[in-house]
Amino acid sequence: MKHTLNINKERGYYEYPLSYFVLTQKGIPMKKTLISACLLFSTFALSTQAIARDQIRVVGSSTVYPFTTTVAELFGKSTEFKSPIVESTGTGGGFKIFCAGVGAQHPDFNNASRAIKKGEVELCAKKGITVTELKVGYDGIVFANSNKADRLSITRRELFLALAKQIPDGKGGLIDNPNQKWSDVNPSLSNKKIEVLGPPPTSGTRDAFVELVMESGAKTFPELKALRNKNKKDFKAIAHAVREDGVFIEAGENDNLIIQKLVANPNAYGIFGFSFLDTNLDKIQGSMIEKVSPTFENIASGDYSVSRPLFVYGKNEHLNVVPGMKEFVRLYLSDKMTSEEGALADKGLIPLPAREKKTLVAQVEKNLK
Amino acid sequence: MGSTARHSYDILGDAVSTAARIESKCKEYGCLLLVGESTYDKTKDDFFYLKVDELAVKGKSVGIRIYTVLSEMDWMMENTNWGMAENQHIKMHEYYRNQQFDNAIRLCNDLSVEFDGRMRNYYTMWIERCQFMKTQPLDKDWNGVFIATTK
Repeated sequence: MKHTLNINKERGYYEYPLSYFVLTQKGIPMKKTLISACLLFSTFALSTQAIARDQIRVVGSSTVYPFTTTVAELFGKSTEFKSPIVESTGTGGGFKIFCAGVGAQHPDFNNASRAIKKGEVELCAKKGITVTELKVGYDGIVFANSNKADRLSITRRELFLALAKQIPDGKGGLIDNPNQKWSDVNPSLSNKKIEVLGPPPTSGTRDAFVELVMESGAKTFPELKALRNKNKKDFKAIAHAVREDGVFIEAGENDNLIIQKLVANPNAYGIFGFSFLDTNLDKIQGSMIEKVSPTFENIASGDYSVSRPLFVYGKNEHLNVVPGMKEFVRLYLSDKMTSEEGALADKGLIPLPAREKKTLVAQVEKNLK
Repeated sequence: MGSTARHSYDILGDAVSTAARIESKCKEYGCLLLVGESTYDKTKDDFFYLKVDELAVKGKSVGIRIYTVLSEMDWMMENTNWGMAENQHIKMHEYYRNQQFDNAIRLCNDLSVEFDGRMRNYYTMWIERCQFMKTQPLDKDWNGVFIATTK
């Protein structure tokens, strides 16, 4: 929920968000006029032959992966097109591959568990790439463990105290995080060792986790809150720094592997998207954060505090070249997939509020023409 | 009041006095613009509103809902991610009405960074309101209406 328009405080007006520019600068209609035909020819004279690919390629977020895979499977079954190939590379890793160029060897979509960053828009622009942004739904980030162990109820402040590299020492300074057991964080928690399997820095889930959990936790300390008001960058450097002393283990982009590890080690906790909890409730349980359980209803109502939107970005320059891209986008945004009764809701994707969805569909349709 | 000699007019009536009283509340709520429920009902599809309070204005016995407007609806839909925050705001008011004030305060804290910070003053004020309501003896079926003590 963090990617919105920016307020320019000095000039006192609202600046359009990044996504606005992304959405408006695309859609040069390449079909009808002679000029654009020439443009098409000159830009893609070599690459049109190279784009002999007849199968859509998707990279990116492991959180969005199960949703896109579900759409891809139905797409292969219900249309004359082949099922798209979907790879799980992480959001940031995906953008690197996605923005590398136009042509058959470059993917057509990037799954993203956060909005595209300014630097990534620029990276794409250097290669002549513009994107269509599909906000496909919302997700809650869960903190989960094996259901053979006790269920945890924890606050964002306690998670910060358990996972931050440095924490306030109570005298106005910072110390390297000394907390080894949960009971060090809060005496009412268990005296088990803190062991957390979390996403690597290339992951959108990691970005969202540090922003929504670690920052909120850090803000509960008056000294860090004061720092935030004075120097946002310094505050973020502290709030976003996750400990590297073995307590927090970067577990890669394979969320199913994390779940296997949680089953094998009932003392460990994992961090991932709600859908992996929702489809593994026979093995794992989600911790309550601020006394609210990560359920479909609680995430949709905003009661569960750790939620964020999920996206799929399409490469406009491939839209008229790779067969099936437009049809794939339309299937993804169809009610069959992304509504309250859609197939993706069954997999744990929280649908967009109806009004928001309607506007998105109208916007995307404009870009597909 | 005016006449042919003096072109200064007043308007009178219930709607006018209600509007004036709502207007006078802007500062208290930290909102740039407040509207009453009849304006809201007629324009809710065109503008993005958030409910602010249910208020019995001094001198009135029946409560009215008041709203603040943040943008045109089309603009909001195309440029922001406010949809989920709106859900959270609605949930927050549901907690308030159900007298679960601590939950309402928790969501106010989350919401203060939403809507580009434009509702921050409101949520600060609303946390104080929740804390005040916690000290008040309320009926089990309290209808959520706040009775203003000042004009």
